[in-house]
Amino acid sequence: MVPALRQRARRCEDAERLLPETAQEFIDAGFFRIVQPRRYGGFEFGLDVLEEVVIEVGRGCGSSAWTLAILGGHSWWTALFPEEGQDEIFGEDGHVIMATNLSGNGRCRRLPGGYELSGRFVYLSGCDVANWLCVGAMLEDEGHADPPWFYMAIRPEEATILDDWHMLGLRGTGSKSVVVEKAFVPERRALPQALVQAQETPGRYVHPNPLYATPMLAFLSIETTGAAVGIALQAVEALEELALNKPVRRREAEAGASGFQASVPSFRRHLAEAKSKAEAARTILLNEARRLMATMREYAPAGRKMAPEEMAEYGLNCARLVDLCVQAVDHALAAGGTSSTFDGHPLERCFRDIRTLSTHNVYRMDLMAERWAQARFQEAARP
Amino acid sequence: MTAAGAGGVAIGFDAAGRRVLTHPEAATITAEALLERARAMVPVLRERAPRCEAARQLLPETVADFERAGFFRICQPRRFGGFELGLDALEAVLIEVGRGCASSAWTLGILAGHAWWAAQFPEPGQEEIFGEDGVARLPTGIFGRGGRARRVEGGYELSGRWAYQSGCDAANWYGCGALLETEDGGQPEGITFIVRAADGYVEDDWHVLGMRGTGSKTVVVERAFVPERRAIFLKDVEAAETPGSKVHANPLYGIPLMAFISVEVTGAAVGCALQAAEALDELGRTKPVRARSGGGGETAARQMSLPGFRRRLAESKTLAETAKTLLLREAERVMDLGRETKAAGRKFTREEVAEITLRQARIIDLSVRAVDEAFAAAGTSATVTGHPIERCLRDVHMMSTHRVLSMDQAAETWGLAHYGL
Repeated sequence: MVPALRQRARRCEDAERLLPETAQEFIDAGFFRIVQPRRYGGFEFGLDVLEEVVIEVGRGCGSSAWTLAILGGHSWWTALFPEEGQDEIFGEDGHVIMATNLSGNGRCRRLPGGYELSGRFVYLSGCDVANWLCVGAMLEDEGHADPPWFYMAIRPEEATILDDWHMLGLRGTGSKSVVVEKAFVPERRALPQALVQAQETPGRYVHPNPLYATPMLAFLSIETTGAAVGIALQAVEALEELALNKPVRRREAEAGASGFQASVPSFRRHLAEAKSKAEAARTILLNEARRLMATMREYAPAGRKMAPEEMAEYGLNCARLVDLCVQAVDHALAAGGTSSTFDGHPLERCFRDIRTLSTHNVYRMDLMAERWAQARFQEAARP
Repeated sequence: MTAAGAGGVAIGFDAAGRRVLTHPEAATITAEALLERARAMVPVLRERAPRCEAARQLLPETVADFERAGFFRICQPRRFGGFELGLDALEAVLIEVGRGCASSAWTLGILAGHAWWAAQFPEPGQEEIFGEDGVARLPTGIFGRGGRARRVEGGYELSGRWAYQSGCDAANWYGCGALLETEDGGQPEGITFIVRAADGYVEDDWHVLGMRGTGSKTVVVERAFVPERRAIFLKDVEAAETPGSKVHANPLYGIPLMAFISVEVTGAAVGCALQAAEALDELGRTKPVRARSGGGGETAARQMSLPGFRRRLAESKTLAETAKTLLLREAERVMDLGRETKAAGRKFTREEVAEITLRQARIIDLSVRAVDEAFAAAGTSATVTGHPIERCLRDVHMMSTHRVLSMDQAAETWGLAHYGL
């Protein structure tokens, strides 16, 4: 798909959403079913398989890769819900494309048999192509000192999508806001956050595969990271192409280069830096994804829960490898020069995409370093 | 301040009978006064910045403000209606303007700097270019790649295309480098011209990542006649033996081209870095901290309460301020070197010139890092189109791709000069 995705990348940006034809090709290729339970029509592969696909898609289009990672990854998320909820959401065709905001800005109140949900939620990547939405909401009006909150799945028809995704990069993810007003959510489509935090989701007892016992924080740290690696690899490839078709500049020629950029020492250095950083990021990511899967194969049958420090370490390692991807793209842009900053050039798009991606809270080193350190020292202090 | 419009210069004659244009402020203006004017413009430049980007050119009202403030005349010869202040005065102004709008600062650097370039030309050419009002705003593709020229009666016939002509929409002249065909078909010679804007046209092809408001579009000239007086050979430029360097006594006009243009626009990058650090500082007071474990959304705390945020702000601010100190010091040093070399009757060495460029590339690099730190601390909400931090990120990285100012080229040119290779 890489050539077609490259050719569509600019149109995808301009449309500020995943293109319908790309969504259809992902459906036809089974990409949304990679980590979906077999019982509900999925393939039940590991997160490592999802990441390999996302990396390749990202070599073509960073926005499409990000959106695929979110939507494809969230068929795993759906599998954590109560069984009756999964029966309903996966339906009769197992076709689930779920856009989410899991940070919990909404509010809900109890009704007989379920909840009434309201709120405004930002950054729902892929919401234009989704057939389900999932958002977080706090229970109010019951006088709790520390009110419980829930992840709730609703139909897109029960929400209004706002056209407010006008951003530096990752424009094609269409990560728009949605507004929900008094939607009824039956109990079966509400997943208590406390169970997620305790690694005791209903879903881990529905599906025997250890994949579904994976803690949310560890899974989400890795889920979209393939998009960053794909963007970095895309930039390296675009730069490599310049090596053999962009002529040397006057001052480079005066310094002894001739013909094309490949003969300029600083260009070769930037290319080597970019390539080795992007490839190192790829290796680290696939290793992290496999390590997580292997850990769960060990922990899940024994009923062992993952410690906060272990989870935080996945976050820290992913923030580190996204940083490598940012550096790779910076090298590519520096070597690409001003002619690669024109609208529609893959290098300028990769630059905007990777920088926007790097602002996501799960990749911000400031936050991930702090979260890891707090977990580490809390555990060390434990008697 | 005295309003000094384009028509505000007085025309007179000196003892030798040469025409002299005198700006009403020429005798009294100071670098400090210009700096104050620039500082006062920051709020309005900030407010106009999104419109400047969208227009992809220096806004006409900003051109008028710069003209009224005398900014285009900073490095222009007094004899032709300028202030004849140094690069240090120009950079101090650019830094302030860049705190408001990097694109406007860059374009000002180019247009004001190139009044200095016009002063390198033969005296009759300068008389024509500065005209009766002392307004000479020209972007330049100085070097030879863009055009082809051939000799004709009284001058040259020039055709060509010059990309990246920052400020061309506000220009009344264009600078155009070309290769001059020789009659015997031998090696063509590098030559550079100043052409009336009316003799060329602009192609609207500036659709880019950042510095959109510089309007650095392509200028096209087709078979224009250029008289002898508006031509200089590149070999004279490279030898720092331009006709203009003998017209004006001020050592400013003896500074070699590469030294001058290396410094000329750097204030825009430094201003951009300061702008990002200031925007981040503000964000520290206004942006809420999110609850650590979801559910609650925002908390009452602000970003300033986070050690990681404060560290980034400190890094950003100190990188930007270091860049500012280095630039102002370096601009003074280049002026000092201009005076010293002139007094000693010598030229800048190749290594001295390369070192000036190298230091500018370092200042740009520090500016890029200052903005990167601000961007890393600001979060996704600062990537919304039109947020100053996302604009600064695009602008400063765009500037760092400039071929003169990239560390790659500057380091290599310096290394070769240092070892005499």
